[in-house]
Amino acid sequence: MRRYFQVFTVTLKEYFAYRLNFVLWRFRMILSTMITLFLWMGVFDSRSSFGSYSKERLLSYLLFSSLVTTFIASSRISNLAYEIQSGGIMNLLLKPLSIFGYYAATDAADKLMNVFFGLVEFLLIVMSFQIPLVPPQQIGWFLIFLCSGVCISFSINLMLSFIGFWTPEVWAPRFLFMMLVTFVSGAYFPLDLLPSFVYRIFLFTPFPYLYFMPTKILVDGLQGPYFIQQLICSLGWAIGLFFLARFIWKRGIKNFSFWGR
Amino acid sequence: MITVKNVTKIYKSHIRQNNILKDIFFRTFKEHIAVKNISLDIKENELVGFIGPNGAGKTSTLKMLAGILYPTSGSLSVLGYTPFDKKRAFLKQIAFIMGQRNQLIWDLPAYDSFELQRAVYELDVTEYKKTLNHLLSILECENLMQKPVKTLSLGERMKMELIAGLLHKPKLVFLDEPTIGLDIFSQEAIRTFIREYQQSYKATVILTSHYLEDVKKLTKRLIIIHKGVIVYDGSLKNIIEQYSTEKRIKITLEENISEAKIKAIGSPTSFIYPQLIFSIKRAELPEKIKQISSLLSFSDLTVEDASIEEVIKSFFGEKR
Repeated sequence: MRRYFQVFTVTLKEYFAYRLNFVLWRFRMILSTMITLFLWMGVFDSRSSFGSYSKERLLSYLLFSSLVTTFIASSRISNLAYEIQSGGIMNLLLKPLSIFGYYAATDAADKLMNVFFGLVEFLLIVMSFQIPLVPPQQIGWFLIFLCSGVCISFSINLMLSFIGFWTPEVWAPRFLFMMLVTFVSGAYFPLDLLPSFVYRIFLFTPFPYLYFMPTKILVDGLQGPYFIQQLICSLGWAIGLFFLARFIWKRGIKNFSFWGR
Repeated sequence: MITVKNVTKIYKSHIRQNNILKDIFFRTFKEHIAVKNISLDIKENELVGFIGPNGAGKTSTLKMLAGILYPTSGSLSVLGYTPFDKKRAFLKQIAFIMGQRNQLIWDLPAYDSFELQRAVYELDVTEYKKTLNHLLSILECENLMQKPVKTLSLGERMKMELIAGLLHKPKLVFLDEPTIGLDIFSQEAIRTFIREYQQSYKATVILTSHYLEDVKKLTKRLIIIHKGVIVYDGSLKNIIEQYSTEKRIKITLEENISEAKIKAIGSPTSFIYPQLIFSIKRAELPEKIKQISSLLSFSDLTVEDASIEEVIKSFFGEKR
């Protein structure tokens, strides 16, 4: 465990080598949150509710969602595709380290940094715009769904990087996939605003369990008869995708040539 | 320590067909044999030179021995393990240091990479400090530890790479062109370090280098690979004797002499007064030395074997 803690520490130190990059990245994230927020505030200028959401619940959803997204989406795994293509991954393969453990440690450092700044930004936005928030509900269940979301995101990110074993064209699929995921995982709006049958179909995919479900629990708590089904789906996807990522890793590493790298 | 039996490695590369649809849906591949049916044994505490032209299969072989590459066929046993299984106990006993690849954390001082190595290899703190100080003192680079890696010169970085790679005192070290791009002083420092490390820690070292001076100064056993096949496996001395058919006589003249007098002995390889060099066939050596002694007035005369570069050139000349 100590080895992964050292990886975590070194990753944090690396952040401080490029402080400006990080600050600018956070600035971009604030802008993105504020754009979504202003858009929805505009919608509520002419009405007091949207679907089943009151203004207070919807703005709470958006702000909690920005924090949840910051925590779950923060990751260093996108570097992995480049490391595979350039052969830099060899440095890791030669060490008595698990590649999954290594990237979990770098991700933990990334999440810590981003969430710390994300929390400060969250408070600044709430205080500056006097946004009314609902008190967070059922923290225990929220944490369970949050951890599950982290695992799902981790495995999806790994698999997107493993494309590098088969083709150098890794950025386009990653970009496209992440755009789609952000849309269908509830980062910009609550998914239960969608037509009921679309929402029900989405609940069988892994995406709502990334950002939507943990945020929904914070805003409304667990509701309805479908709770057990959602819990099983969330944990099932987390475990299933992890084993799928391991399988693809083993296939990739065996077939990859590192020729000329 | 290392047993390789009939190992072959074939790479597949995609052939572009100038048709985007075919390139996407009906890809065709070409096979390239990197290593062809090689077998070798390396014992404990050996320092082996592994050489060959670019693309000969050196690095592919090393990568298979280190467990990075999966062989297409054949069997490998290294330190009693199958390398590709990547068992933790196996990885803890090896190091693979590449002159062309940075393994240190680029933006941080080398010290942070060393600390990471300590944690990764679960090294005892006292033992780690002792090894670190020893390695730093051999390379005389204590002052470089706190400088960010990106600010180090190539030679300085290579020294830090070597230390980071060897902190866990591996039993088996793969050195892939450790002196590439370095000036002669750094090359010499690295060579001295490799020799001292190998002797101090009784390690087995496999070295690849395009600088034959590295091989000559460090190794006794030489393995030559060409087009994926091992074409020589034996002592360095043997190959020099076998392929060095000529000796080189270096003479430092006391006074300048006429060309006619030189031609009476033979055609010189080079003549820049006061140094005169002849390449003479081994059999003619005693007679030529007698002739030189009687005809020329000189302050120094040395007889040398052909350079290792010439020997290898002549070896490959024959293989073609």
